[in-house]
Amino acid sequence: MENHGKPTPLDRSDFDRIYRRYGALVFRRARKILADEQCARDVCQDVFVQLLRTGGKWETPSRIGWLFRTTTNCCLNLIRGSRRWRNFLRVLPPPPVVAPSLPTQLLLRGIPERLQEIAIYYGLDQMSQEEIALALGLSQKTVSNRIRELRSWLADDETQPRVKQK
Amino acid sequence: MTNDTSCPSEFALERWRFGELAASSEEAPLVAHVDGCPACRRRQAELAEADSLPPDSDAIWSRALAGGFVGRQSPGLRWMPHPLRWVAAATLGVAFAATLVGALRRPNPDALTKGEAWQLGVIAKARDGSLRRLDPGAPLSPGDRLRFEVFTNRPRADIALVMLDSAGKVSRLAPTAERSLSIPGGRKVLLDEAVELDGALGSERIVLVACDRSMEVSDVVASARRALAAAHGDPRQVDSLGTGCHEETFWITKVIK
Repeated sequence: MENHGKPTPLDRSDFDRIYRRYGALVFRRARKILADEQCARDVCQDVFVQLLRTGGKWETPSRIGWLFRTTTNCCLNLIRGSRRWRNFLRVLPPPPVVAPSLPTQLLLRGIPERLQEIAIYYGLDQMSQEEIALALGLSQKTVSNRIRELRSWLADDETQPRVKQK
Repeated sequence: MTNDTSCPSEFALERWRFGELAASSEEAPLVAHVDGCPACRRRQAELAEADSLPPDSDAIWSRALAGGFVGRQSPGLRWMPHPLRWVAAATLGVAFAATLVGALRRPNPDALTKGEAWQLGVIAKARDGSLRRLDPGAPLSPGDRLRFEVFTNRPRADIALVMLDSAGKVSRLAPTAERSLSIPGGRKVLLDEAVELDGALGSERIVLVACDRSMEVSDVVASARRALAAAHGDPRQVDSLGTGCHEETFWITKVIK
């Protein structure tokens, strides 16, 4: 799969091989973030459809990093979609639809969207700055800045209710 | 390593398990940590165990087809002159019909890929005589002896084992006979062959090749050599040996203890 010349599109057997090798990793990660087996299966599909979308150009310094990042983004999209869906349902008349239980959703509640991905890697996965940089394809300095931003946002968020109570 | 503990993150463990850290500066400290940390060894074993989940790729491929990300037409047909396409299509149609009829008659039509479970276990005997069943990525030393255990839920399968090392070398592990070894399914089979690790350090990739037909072991070795050469001698970059059979990988790491 690592191409050194012109990339050739993945054929079915290439794809099956990649899916057998990495499918369980993606599924396990999605399940860890979403805590929902069915949603994790959906995310697993989305991740590998994205892989096929690359048309055989799966060139990355770390395949595991690519899979971690894409799975995280697909999970975040699902969580954000579910939030939007709930907002949409709020303005509709009953019967209400119960959204799947998504614990990560609670973890991310109120965190700005641009910091949610970092919050997962840093908070949930306990990844180092170097690892996050590798997975996201960013410089370590950028990652460090975002973590600082996240921490400062969390610190502000913690102090805010106390200020309001006074 | 994690951001606030000394234990490696799951990301690091996965990169190690899939061979991405082989021969990197991160590998040695990680191996040393996992070797002495029961919690990490347990996590590593759990990660490897989850790989037995049988994912179904049909739905994904269908979505990709519907989205036009993958081609319906085989690349071989694209360059053909127009009349030849019809001939090729007719030939393929006949071949497909014959395959379908054959498949319907046979009880096990799939070539060792769908809905099956495989396990490749490695048992190490250290120079002090101690025995241990290895977790994937386990650190070993030159001089350690290895034996192999294979399980399948297929009624029967033909297998061969080869080893790819970071120095770009392919070694034949089992069987020592010219043709692949036929094993029964439903129970763990301990292979007779044992191998003693040489002095080259770094990550080594043990590959179990399993087929529903007998194979020449030299063909498997030749395929492994071609795949390793195409990956510029780096076992981490080898996706498949290209044998057309099922393949299972087990990584070990040779270090000086």
